[in-house]
Amino acid sequence: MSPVVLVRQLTKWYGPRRAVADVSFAVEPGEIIGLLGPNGSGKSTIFRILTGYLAPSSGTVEVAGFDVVRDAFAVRREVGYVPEDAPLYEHMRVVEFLRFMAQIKGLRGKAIGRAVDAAATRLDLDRVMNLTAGKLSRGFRQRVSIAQALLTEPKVLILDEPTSGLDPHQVIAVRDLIRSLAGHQSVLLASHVLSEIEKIASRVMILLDGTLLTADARATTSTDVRLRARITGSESEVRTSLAAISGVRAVSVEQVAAAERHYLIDAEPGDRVRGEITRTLVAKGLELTELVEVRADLEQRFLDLTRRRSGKAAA
Amino acid sequence: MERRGSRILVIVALSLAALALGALGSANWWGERVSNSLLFAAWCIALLVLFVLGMGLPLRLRGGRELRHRRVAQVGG
Amino acid sequence: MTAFSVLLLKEEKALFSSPIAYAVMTVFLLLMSYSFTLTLFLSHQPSLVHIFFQMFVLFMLTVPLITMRLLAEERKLRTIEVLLTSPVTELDIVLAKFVASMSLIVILLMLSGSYAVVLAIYGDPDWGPIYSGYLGLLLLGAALVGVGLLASALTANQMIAALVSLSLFLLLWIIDSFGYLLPSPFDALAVNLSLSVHFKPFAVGSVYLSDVGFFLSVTLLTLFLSVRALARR
Repeated sequence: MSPVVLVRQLTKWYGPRRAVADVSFAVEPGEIIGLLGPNGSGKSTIFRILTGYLAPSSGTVEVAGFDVVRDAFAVRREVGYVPEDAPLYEHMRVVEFLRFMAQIKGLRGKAIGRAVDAAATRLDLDRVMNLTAGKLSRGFRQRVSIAQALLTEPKVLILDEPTSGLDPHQVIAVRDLIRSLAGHQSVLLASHVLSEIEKIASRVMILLDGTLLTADARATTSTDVRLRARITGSESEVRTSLAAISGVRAVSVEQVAAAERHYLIDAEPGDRVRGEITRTLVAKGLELTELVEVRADLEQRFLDLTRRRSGKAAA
Repeated sequence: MERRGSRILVIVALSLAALALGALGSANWWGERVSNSLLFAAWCIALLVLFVLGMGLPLRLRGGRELRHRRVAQVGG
Repeated sequence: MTAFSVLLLKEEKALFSSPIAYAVMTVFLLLMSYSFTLTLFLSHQPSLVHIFFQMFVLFMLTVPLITMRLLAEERKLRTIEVLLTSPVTELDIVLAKFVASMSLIVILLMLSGSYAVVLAIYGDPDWGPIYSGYLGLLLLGAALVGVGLLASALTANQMIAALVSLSLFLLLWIIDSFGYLLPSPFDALAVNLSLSVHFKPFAVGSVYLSDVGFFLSVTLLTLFLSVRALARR
């Protein structure tokens, strides 16, 4: 299956400033991609280029098979875009706004009413349909903005910080909605909030200063697992005992209290190594009070990548 | 692109109309007033042709500032 | 319905749901009616010439208020992103805003048509100058709206847009009086750029096609530049 979004060596300059530097990635149909990065990292710029709002300085971008520069209109028809801060026309009522959006996106006649009703039901907007957009709360504004993006059932949905300013209930509702779309639609969402991306995205891309640090933050090249063990005893003894076990790749220490230390052990997956560790430590008289697997932490990966990058920049 | 095709058609049609009216106006067959009106009509249509041509200009002209900055960045490292 | 007509409908709704349109209409009518009645009683002449000159000035003062929000507000509220990520062109957007503003101008002109009606009932006015006067005002309105729209396209701040348009109008209004100060080729240029020089003949009854051409050129040029200003993002 061909990717629904294909970005190749995308670069965007704003005058002397390079906002996006040589970014390349692909999105397969049905994926939920989380674009993680601090403010100013270029997430919004990339989205604006994907939606045909801005043109790339160089590189090619294809959405649903159409080039964003040559076939901008076709791209815009296939993309539903929810910009940051959910911009709406303040003077319009919600139903008017949705009908307006349906019309400029090319829907005609009865299709307009059907699309508006469907989107309103999906986003639970029936209560506010006749309210002026200017009077809506942040949560409802966001929902109206998402509703307008869904009107034409686009192949790609692009959401820029969709949960910012929402209360926990609304955050969960938006999250569930996005999850329900996966499969038939591809979703790209940008956020600087790690925990949100972690929970929704099937794949996480990390962006910093316009550069894509990784197109899949959760991918690990090794099959190793990381174990955390709480062991009391002399560090050197622990290290030598662990090093002797086959299947243990690396050991590092996280000091917690004076005598008690957390050791981070990178080892082969499976129960054999864990059994060996337990037996070896007990045989040496060392106290093992905890042995758990630590999952590859997105936060850790983010910090590693960004630290490495700033390390490179400093060098 | 369908748009480009129809645009070229519009430009050609308008240009021909402008030329035709201009010629008729200059020919002075029906008296001064009519000639003036025809010439004016030709002029208006020519203006419209310029406008349509202007709309056809690429919206973003690559190069210039952007290109210069990119080259500077490459050299600077 | 084409994209343009959808946008036009939205612009009309936005314009007439804002108090500015009504404020402009009220002020316009109050001032013009007062002036018309007073002059009529004093001069007993069935002519609208002075009215046309006053509307000329009033247009220059009120058009910036009408046009300042057109594109500056969309930029400020970021709804321009919503529009330009939909299958509509910059030209559709600019034309819709232009036509909607012109509809207000046309309404103002029609409302002031009541003066012509009054003259017709009580006297025997010379209709030539009246028709040409309205034509001149319509063309002037189009040119002014074009400039105002361009100013609005260049900034996200409505105040700046209004100030820029107003300054340009004032400049183009008085530019001919400085014409004599300039050396030979430029004095003619200054005079021919002047709004008042091109409008005056309409008010007194002469329709010069060159004047019509001036206003049409300004209108088309400003629309073209507005489209390009929108595209520059």
